Amino acid sequence: MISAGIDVGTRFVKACIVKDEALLGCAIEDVSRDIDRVIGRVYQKALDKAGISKRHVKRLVSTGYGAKLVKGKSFSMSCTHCVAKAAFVLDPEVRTVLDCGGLFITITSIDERGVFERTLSNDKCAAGSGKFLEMSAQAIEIPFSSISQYAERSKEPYLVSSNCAVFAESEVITQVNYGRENTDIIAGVLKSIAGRAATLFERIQAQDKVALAGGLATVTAFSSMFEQMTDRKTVSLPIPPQNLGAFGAGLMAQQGKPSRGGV
Amino acid sequence: MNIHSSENFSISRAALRASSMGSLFSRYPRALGWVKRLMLPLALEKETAFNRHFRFFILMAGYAMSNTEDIRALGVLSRDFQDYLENVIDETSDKPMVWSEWNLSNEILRAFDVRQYVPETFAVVAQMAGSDAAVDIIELAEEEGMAPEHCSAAKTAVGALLANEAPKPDVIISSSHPCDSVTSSYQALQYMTKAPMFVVDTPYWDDDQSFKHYENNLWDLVAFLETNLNQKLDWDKLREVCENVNITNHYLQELSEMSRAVPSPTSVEPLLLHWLGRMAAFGSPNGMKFAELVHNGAKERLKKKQSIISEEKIRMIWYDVPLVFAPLFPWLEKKFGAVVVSDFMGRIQTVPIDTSSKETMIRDLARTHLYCTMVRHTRGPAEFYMEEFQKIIEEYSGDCFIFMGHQGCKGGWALRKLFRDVCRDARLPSLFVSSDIFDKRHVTEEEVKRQFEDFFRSNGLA
Repeated sequence: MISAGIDVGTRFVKACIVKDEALLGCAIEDVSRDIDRVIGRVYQKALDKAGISKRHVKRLVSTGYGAKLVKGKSFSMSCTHCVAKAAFVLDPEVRTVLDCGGLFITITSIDERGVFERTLSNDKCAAGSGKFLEMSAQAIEIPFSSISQYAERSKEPYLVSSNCAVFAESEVITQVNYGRENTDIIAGVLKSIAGRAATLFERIQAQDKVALAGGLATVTAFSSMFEQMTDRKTVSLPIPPQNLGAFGAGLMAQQGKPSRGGV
Repeated sequence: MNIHSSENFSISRAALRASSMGSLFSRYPRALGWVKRLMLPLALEKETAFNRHFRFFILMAGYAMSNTEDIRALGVLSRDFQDYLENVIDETSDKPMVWSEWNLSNEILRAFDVRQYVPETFAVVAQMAGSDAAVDIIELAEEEGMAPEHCSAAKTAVGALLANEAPKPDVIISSSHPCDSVTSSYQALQYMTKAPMFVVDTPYWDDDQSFKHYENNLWDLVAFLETNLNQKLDWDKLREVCENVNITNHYLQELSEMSRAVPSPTSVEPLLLHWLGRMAAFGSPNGMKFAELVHNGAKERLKKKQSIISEEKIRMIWYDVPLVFAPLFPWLEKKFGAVVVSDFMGRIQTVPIDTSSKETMIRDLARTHLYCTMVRHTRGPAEFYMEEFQKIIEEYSGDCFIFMGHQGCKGGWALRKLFRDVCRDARLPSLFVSSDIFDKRHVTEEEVKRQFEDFFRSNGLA
């Protein structure tokens, strides 16, 4: 059966087309004001990459912060369940997933059957999130794709003391005005986020293997810092980490009765 | 609802009206069946301004309890509830008013010529005026200094007194179980009412010495009541009540056992309803009749290998009750074909009372009290819960375990890890939901439903 999963996150909309347990195609686009169109476009792009049309899709499941915005869905599920499902299907030895997205850091533990067991999430606004990293990188004029290169050159990472993203951003701007090196600032911001993730990680008493998901998983300096702080190795999964939620939603859609027409 | 209403018992009167309607319709079970069928879809999804005053009542009656026998049974029980409420709000009565904590069985009180009020029951009564009414009452207690961490049932008991919803007590009976919240709330209630109070001291263990200790407590209680009420206990009346209790327990205990069958011919709904009824009128002829009717209905279905709902798909084992989420049971039954086959609240496990003498009655009443729901679990070590849980898992063929945690139940939350470990060993999927039985501010109904949907789907149960 062919199914689709759409993950409407706080920063990006992701769509995956799934057949049984295989990913046929996926797409991603920034969240913008006309969310209905964005969702439609991302879905269509994923279909195009899979080389199929909507009528082939028997079930569609939505997930993420804006899951309810997806029209024509069979049902919605929380992202933690979808991420757990996806990670387990891609690597059955994974027991913990660290999902660092636009607004939330979420740690999910998975049982030996691949079922979501427990989750913990950051509760202090956006300060420990991808959006905060993005804002800080913009403030010091570093392209998002080069964050790791800059951070790796840092000799003395700056210690970000604010818990709130708004205050942290002004703290970063103050440091820029003081003449602090961009490399030290961005390394400090990464360290702050990795520190929050590590705290959650310890609280959930995470088991190995650990997989990373979400946009921050693409920043190699972040994963290195996290591994250093927790003294654990993380594994890479064979699909883009941002798409884990949408892929999981597509897998969830495989369960249950298919609808007669396409969606 | 206006809790600052100058009229006394405004919420209780609203609940009485709903109960009287139910009782009236139950004389015509087919008609009541149709009323229920018509009203259920209006009540199922969410509380609105339109359905606020009947939603809780309709959903408490459940989705599953829809055949003629079950509806007749509901009518019988609502007559007892109606009597209870009428007694509570009767300001002209010259009978003494006794307040009795909800975890105590009231057989002994029924052998005195008294009116009785169970303060925590008001948490259920208040839901009948809409969930906002219960929240208003709870907030009233919090404004007067009850800690937010207190159990919401205890807060409602205090709030009811502040909102002129509680009758003036002549005597209060409390106990040292089930939790610090309830025990301490009775200190507040006594301080506010200045009524003489007797506290039953509940033993920790399950041995002869403990039973004897509780039995001695009951003798002291009888003496206390005789002195303070200026009445003598009517032993013949107590014998009659105990005989009713024996028959009632026989039916309900069999009902508890019947849900071991697959598909289950019953759910915990009738057991929970009786548990609520027990607070006000355990050992009454109506309580006994209710048990007999629901038992007979289930036995018929068992013979025909029929489920209590149209198609049983998921068998749930449940911890605690989702009272404020009464919509949950009908919603789970209708949407997922999910039936609660066993739980810790409705499940009856007790001993018969030997009515041959005063001494044997008090001895066995002590035992039945200690085997009552909550009392048998919360008064001792965690093993009391865990051993029963292991037995339930072995016997009831559950597909999953639902831990519906109550915010105020600190002891319950302390068991979470133990429950999780047992489930893991038994390979039983488990869902842990943080909720509050009476206070909807803690978590929304929508959020709880979302957690259930996610849980069933990710475990391949739906």
